[in-house]
Amino acid sequence: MTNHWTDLQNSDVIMINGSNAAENHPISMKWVQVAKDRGAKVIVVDPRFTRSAAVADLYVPIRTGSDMAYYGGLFNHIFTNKLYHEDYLKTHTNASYIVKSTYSFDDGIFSGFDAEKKSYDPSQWAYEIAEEIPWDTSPTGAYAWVNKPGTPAFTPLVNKKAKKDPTLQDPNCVFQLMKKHYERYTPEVVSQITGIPQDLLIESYELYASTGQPGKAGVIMYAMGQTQHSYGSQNCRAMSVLQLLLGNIGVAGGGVDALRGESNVQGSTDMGLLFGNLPGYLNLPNATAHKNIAEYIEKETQYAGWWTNRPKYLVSMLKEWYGDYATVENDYAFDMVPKFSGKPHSHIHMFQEMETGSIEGLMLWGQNPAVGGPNCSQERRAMEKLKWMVAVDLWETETAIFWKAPGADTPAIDTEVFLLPAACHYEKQGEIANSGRWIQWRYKAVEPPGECKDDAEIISEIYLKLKELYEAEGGANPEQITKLNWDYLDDNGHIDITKVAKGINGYTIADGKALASFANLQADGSTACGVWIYTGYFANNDAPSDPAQQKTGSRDNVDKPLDEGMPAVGSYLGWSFAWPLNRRVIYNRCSCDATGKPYNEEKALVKWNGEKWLRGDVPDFGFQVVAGDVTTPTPPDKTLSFMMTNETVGKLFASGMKEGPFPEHYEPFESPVQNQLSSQQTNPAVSLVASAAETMSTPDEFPIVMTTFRLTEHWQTGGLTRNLPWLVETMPKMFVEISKELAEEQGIVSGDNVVIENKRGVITAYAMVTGRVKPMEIGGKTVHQIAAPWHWGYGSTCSIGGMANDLTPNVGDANTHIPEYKSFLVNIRKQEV
Amino acid sequence: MNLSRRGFFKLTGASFAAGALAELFGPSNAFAADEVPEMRIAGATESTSICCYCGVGCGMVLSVKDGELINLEGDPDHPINRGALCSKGNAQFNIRNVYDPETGELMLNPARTTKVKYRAPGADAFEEKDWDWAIEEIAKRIKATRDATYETVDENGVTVNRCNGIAQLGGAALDGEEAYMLSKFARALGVVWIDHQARI
Amino acid sequence: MAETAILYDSSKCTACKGCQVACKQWNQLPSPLTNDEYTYTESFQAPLDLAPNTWLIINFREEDKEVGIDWNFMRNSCFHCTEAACEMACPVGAISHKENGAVVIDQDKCIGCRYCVASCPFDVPRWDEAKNKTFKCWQCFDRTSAGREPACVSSCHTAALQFGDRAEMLAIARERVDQLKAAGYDKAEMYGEKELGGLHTIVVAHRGLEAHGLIRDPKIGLTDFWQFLKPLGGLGIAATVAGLGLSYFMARGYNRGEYSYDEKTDTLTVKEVEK
Repeated sequence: MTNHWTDLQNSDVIMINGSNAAENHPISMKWVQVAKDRGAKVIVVDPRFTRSAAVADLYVPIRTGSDMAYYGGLFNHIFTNKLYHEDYLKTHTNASYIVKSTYSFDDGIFSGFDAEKKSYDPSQWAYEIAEEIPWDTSPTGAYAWVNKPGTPAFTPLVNKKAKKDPTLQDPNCVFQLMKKHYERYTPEVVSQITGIPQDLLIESYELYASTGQPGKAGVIMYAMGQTQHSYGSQNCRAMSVLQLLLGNIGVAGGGVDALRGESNVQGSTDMGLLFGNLPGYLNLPNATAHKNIAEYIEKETQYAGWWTNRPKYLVSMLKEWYGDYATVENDYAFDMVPKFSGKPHSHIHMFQEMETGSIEGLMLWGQNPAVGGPNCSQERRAMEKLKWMVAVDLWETETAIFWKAPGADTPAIDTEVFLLPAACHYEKQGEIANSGRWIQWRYKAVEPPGECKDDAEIISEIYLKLKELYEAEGGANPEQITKLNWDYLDDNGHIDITKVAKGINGYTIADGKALASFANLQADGSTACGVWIYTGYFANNDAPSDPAQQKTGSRDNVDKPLDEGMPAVGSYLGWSFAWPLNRRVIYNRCSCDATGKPYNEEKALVKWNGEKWLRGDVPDFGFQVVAGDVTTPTPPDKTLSFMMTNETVGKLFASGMKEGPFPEHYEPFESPVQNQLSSQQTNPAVSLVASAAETMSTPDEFPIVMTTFRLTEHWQTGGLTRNLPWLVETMPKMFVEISKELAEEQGIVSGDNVVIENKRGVITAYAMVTGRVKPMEIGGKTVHQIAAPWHWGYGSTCSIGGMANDLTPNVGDANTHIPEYKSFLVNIRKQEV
Repeated sequence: MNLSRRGFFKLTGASFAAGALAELFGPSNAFAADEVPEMRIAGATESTSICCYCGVGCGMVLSVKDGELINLEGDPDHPINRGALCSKGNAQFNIRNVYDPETGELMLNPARTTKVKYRAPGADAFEEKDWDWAIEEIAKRIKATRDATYETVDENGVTVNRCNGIAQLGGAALDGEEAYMLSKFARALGVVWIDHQARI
Repeated sequence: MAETAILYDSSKCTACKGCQVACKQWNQLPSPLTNDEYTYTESFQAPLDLAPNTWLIINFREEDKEVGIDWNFMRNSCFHCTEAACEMACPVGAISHKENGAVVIDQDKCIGCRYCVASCPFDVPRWDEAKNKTFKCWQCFDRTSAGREPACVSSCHTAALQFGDRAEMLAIARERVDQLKAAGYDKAEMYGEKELGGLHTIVVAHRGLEAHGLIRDPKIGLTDFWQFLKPLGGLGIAATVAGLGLSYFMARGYNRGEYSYDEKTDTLTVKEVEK
């Protein structure tokens, strides 16, 4: 989330699109209700009428998979009716930037496409450069640190300033290119693609676009309904672009709010548990692009904005990982970090590779792919090729017992399985980060039952045993393991979580003191820091082992601004610690115009008073420079709107995307209709593995569109809910939602057992015939949609049922490889008795 | 843990005067005429935590008596949920304890795995093992696979120091410190097949 | 002392069932442990009905529309009536009003006769065969006595449930109904102000009483209740129990209605309470 949960109260219009907040993030509705009590309006765009829709002012039914057409139409509506926030566009975005004439778009394809490789050359979409300014590394320059002894040698970067047209009239400026791109998305066409009646479409557009007025705020609450598509990243781009057009980013009540589905999925991502990320969003070294540390720094460091500091975070992380072993002479043990090939190693690819037998062992820490993975029967079959599996969990999950799944040939499966009993969250202590980036501490309430142990202890015991084995026997590159800094143990050899917290927070090597800000981190080996964005969360050196006296444990729930004279807008700065630097609304410079005057005084986050910045929230734009004892405020024209981009402004046009700089509508991998906007049916750069291509289900055989969803009463693969009797009682059985019309066609009534199938699998479920799903007219054709939760499996004593993910395709988004769980094709029929 | 130090509310009627509800009722005890049952959590030790389900991050209060969890409810001081919880949040109690439908007695949720279990190749059931055995055997499996599938230099002569034969999934259900340890631990093995719930 | 009440505002309810589980959590109510003990309900409403171990459920009602539906939720639990049929019917004085208006079953006194079950116009109390006792919501009298909200109320995030001084709850409800009508919910109604002498669960039904399944103008069906008794146990048992019941009513000087029992016709008659 760019904003946070209690900030929802500040919105004027809330669009819940691709999420079902009332069911999957129930308490968010507390703040939506507060906004409604203030007069805010709520729009729910969803293929299903949900419990969110039940409390919405406007429900907009949409065909699953057609979100991009909906947004494209909204862009067109905004341009046609001049509803954009013009001052914001000129001040805080790249609307005025001039793009090279090599950029073009024709019939669904942008320039630079290699049809054979199915990938683009993004250099075709570059800006015209007006000026190149090399980094000033002189002793008084901004980049003097580059020459400090101990800093890895690399070639300093060159800042590139793009050509601009502040009037937004140049035909090749981003504004004009964008306006032109979306002219094709007329209400007629969008209505035909999405199935949304035109009057309802326009009504929703008018309502949401009303937040483009200066001083108004609109927020988008989204989740997997936007991301789990073969163009999910472009849906996210579209939401960001929409919010930039309307001036809704960086303001109270605005934002692009990703509703994270797991309590610490924000935190675990911060910690670098995706294949391409090290902690703190440093990219994993890639053998093709980064042969050594210099090449890594040169290619990964931005030439402008805050990411110019990336070398400091890399070196500090390496110092935390390898301690004294990491020196400037050995490139701070850079080579000890494994380099991947540069090819995707995502979940989908992992299970595709597992089929070959090359992956011998799988370690699972509270994850259950046998139910949660796409095309998950393929994943269960792939697991049969493993030599060994270690599953650490609270329950006998479907993955831990994959060898006795329905249909498995148990005696023929040679995989050894170790199931280790874990403590639950209130049987141990540590922090978790919520969607609003609040890092909150959880205390241990009770001892774990039986022989259950904390995951931290289990990780440590395995690590220490391996270290012992490698020290005694040697083996492949033993130093990678034996030289690792593991200074986290108490006097009894057990894990002390507060010591891990200190490593994450960062400290000065010389005195071991925890650091309060990542601005203190250095690239010369004098600081160590595991996760730079967390610096400050555990920095109280007076009580290093007491979480209650750290920022993460702070419990001041009085809402007050940082500086007097600013309004209190629900930031709760005294409660826990929000990364980065306790900032609650990121990009908050954009809440003011070029002169530093807030667009909305009543909900101002920062404000230039003529001499300095007054702060409601923690500023996000280099608001002052501290040199020795002298603090110099940065005047409004020198601050940065979006400090994490090279441009330091928001990008309506972005060259970093795999399928083009503007989001474009494509049909899902499996769709019953033709793309009505171009002859390019699906995302040209889609992430496709063999097992997905082989099981593509086509509309001639499988004409029904299916989508998956979650319920308030259950969670993810069900381990943590189908084993809880109180929850099973509130939603006991697996079911599928079917429209009355489809039910009549198929002779199905509520309570029947139905069979749902495609080329990937066959499942059964109870029929729930309801007006909550309805057929749609798409391009003159009736399209039926059905929907089922994916919480069920075979591994609980309390509630078992069909696995929706036996049907979902393992085709992925081009950028992130997230599976297209939300839109695919099936057939449905009543089960013969 | 000293709760009062963190400004935590007390669950007895007398000291509840500082809470929001007291304002509703006024300072007088309106219920004096009735025989007042004692709340079952009176005298329990309280601690706070954050819900394990979605990303909202609601606070909760856990009450423990005689070393056992007896109550779990929303944290009234928490700025996001102000004491509220959804159905899942309220049911977190069941992750550890349930009430026996026959006797009504508090008991450990029988579905909870509390012992180390091992499934041998081809076996149709788990067998129980102890921790020392499991850690030793797992370390041996990891080492054997790592040593057999390790790649020091790739086909272009670039030092890659990676282990191609081990994969790791998970972390979103863990605490941040644990996730960090996992990230570091797996990379120190050279593992590059690392992904977790955020991807799917 | 002031009477208190729960206020349920259906227009703010997201049907998350937090209240439903919070009730079970606080009141230590078990649920079955095995798959076979659960049945499919064909609805998001689950379980479908109250039970000895389920004192509160959220009811779901769907009205189909051209776009979407009207999804009408309702909190289904005890209304804590001022004229509480269950209390009147209880032959052993196990059911009583607390001074704040909560109607509570004393499990030590309950003999499992089920008169309360038969008499309740809202079908709330539920008899547990194994324990031979009857159970229902007690408005978390232990919590409210300690100055805390009932578990269901404190668990509600949108303030669809509130608890406090009954007069204040009524005022909030009245204002909310006006707001809802102004916002286009022309059937919005308040429930519980006068029904059965005044309920201690007040409801704002934003799509009208019927849409939310509320009984308009509920009546105490003691006559019906007496008819129900006869097939249950025959005259002998009924008369015996009746003796207990009537003596209880008389001894207590119950002042919210007048009763007469005709032994020859074996009927109990109740005079309507003046409103």
